[in-house]
Amino acid sequence: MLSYGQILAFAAAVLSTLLAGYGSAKAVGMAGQTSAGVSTENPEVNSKLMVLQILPGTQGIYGFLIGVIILVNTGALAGNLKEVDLLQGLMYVAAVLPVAVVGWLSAINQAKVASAGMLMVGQHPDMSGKAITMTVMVETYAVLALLASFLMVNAIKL
Amino acid sequence: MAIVDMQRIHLLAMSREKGRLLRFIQRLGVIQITPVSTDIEQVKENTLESAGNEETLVRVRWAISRLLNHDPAKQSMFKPLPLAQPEQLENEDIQGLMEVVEQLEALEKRSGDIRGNQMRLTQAIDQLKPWLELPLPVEQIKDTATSKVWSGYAPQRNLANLMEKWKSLPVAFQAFGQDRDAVYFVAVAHRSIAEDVYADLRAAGFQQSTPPLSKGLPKQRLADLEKELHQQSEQADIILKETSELGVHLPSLRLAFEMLSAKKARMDAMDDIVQTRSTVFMAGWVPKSLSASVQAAINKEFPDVQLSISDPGPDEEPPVLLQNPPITRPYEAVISGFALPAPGAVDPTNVMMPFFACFFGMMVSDAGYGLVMALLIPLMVKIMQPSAGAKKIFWIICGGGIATVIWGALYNTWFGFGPWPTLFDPVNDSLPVMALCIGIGALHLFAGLALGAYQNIKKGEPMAAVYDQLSWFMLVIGLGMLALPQTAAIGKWLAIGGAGIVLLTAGRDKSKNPIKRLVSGLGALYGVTSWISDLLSYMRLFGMGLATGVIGMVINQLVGMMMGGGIIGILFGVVVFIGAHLFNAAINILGAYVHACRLQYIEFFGKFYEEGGKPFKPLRYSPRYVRIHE
Repeated sequence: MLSYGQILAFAAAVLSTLLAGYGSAKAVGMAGQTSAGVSTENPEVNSKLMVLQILPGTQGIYGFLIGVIILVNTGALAGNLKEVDLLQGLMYVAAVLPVAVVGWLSAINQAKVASAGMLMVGQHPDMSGKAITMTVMVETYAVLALLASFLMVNAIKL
Repeated sequence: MAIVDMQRIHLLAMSREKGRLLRFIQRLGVIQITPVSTDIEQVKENTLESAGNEETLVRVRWAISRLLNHDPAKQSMFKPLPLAQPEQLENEDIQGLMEVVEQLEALEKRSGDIRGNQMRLTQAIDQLKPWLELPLPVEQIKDTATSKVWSGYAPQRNLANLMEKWKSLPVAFQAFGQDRDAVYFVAVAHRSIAEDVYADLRAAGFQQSTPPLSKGLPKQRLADLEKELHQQSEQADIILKETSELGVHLPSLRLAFEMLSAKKARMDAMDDIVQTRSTVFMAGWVPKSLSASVQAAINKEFPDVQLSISDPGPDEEPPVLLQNPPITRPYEAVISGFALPAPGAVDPTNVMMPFFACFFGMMVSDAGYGLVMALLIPLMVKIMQPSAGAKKIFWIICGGGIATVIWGALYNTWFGFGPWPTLFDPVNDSLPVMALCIGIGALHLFAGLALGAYQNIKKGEPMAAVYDQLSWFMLVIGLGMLALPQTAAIGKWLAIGGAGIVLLTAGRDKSKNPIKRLVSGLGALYGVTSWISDLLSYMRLFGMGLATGVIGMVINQLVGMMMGGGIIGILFGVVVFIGAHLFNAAINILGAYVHACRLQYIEFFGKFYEEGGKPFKPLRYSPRYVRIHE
């Protein structure tokens, strides 16, 4: 018999994987469209654009990571689900919010920078290092959100 | 370690020797030719030749791209580029090759014609489609003495009414084709009622139209068109075959491309040279360490050339070339990926290198991946023989691999497994690891500050080092010491001292007014907040490392489940294990590289870096498709 707490823990895992994953998928897609467009004009820079395209993909990985940690900590992955009371379940949901929401939105914002950077690289291929640095700036906040979520999820002792 | 000292080189030669001299300089590859400002009346004769050269270059490049898919030797990422002798790049006899290019251009023109024909034929066939079932030859659709004939189409929904109305009239109607909702038909009516019938037709939305041919049956015409289309595509196949046969010329085309680009480089240099009727004069930059041997080499080969070497004048800005010991040399790529240091500033490569490798290792953080990188990359360099630029990146990753083994061992992660008891456990006991990250970050920032102080002292401004760097050392270390009760008292005074220096001196160049100075000092003190955000930024070392480790762990758990499923499960398990770990390694190596770069560019460089050097661009061969034999 499942408890509300266990269901909430699963809902938390879903939230982090789903929102961050959706953000990254949309972001990599947006960047990919720009990459295709710029490559049409200037095929030689295509390999440089690839790096820019996958940069906003990491948020999805962060969300997935927190989801898996919840599954590990609740014993779901090992096959014997531990007891999670209602308050702990709510804590899980609160704990994943940083990585879920920041992951989702920062991925999309990062894709916008990546796309603009691609246009820049299309014109000035030697500036790809700068374009990558600009894009990575956005990622800082996704990393911080990941850390916050991780620390909170790990702080819930079942 | 440092930015290479440059010297001015001036050469005066006889005009007839200029071609040979430039070639020699290009082969030496260490002199950057710069424009000379002069009001001497000059002889410029090579604009036409240079335009011609560039046109040929474009044509050859086009031919190479056209033949790319017909290369008889398969190109692969793992195959080194072919070797070429410098002499091969100076062989300017490419008459025969230009014939190949002309053939290709002719083929391209023919295939363009064929594409046009194919399009025209397809269009004609499309137009014919609704008329295909026309039961009588086209020439028979015409009025007779007693009847009028119409051909054309009308919307289907209106036709039923028409049929109903014409039932009792002397009208013949035959529909034979349809295109979307338009029905194509022929209608024949007795002349006595022709006008009424035509009015009915118009009311039903009839559009008069004739088949797109002058006589015969549309079906017959279609067969003709299709035959023609077939012939065209046969022609296209022939052209493809002929193009593919020209593929054997690719290696020599590539060589010709290199020859032409080398020539273009010389001609561009020629623009910067002062030429009179009988002499040429050129100026350039040469690294100081090489200037003596360059002088000797040129004097030996060209006894008539007058050559002088001198130190740069005070208002001259020499180009920047970094030179470092082999271990740190690859990391110059990280610097030039951002911007070269200004001439006279410090080259941070050597100080940066251990930090870069360390950060890289902390972020990949799986000793197994590190081992693979450290062992595989020297092998790949050996097999692939990448270009100098790519080689640098390879060695950076290799160095990062070694650091990864160390950090992976400390974190106890080997391909996602943790076989031994461990020093640091990021997953279950994260605080010590986070503190470590911040600590290493502080070290990194202090190293940047120290470089800034060194730079100030080197420029002969030791007081600036006290004002701008020592003050911050005191302030930040003092604030740090406040955290521990034993050192809090010293820390307090250290911080106050540092803050006082910043407050009083940060505005020293801005204004003479003491109040305005204090205001800019206050503004500078606000920079404490940027130290906090800089330090927090190093938390990514922990975050990225955690991501690698946990995903590796998840992969192993999944594979563990598969392994329980008999022989097929084991087979799948092995494939998933290799594939998933490869993916995890690849994505994390990329992430580690860009984040390690970012920590240098933003946090580290922000403390001291003076950018703005122009790269040293000597006249040399920079081949694309071949490697030059040394």
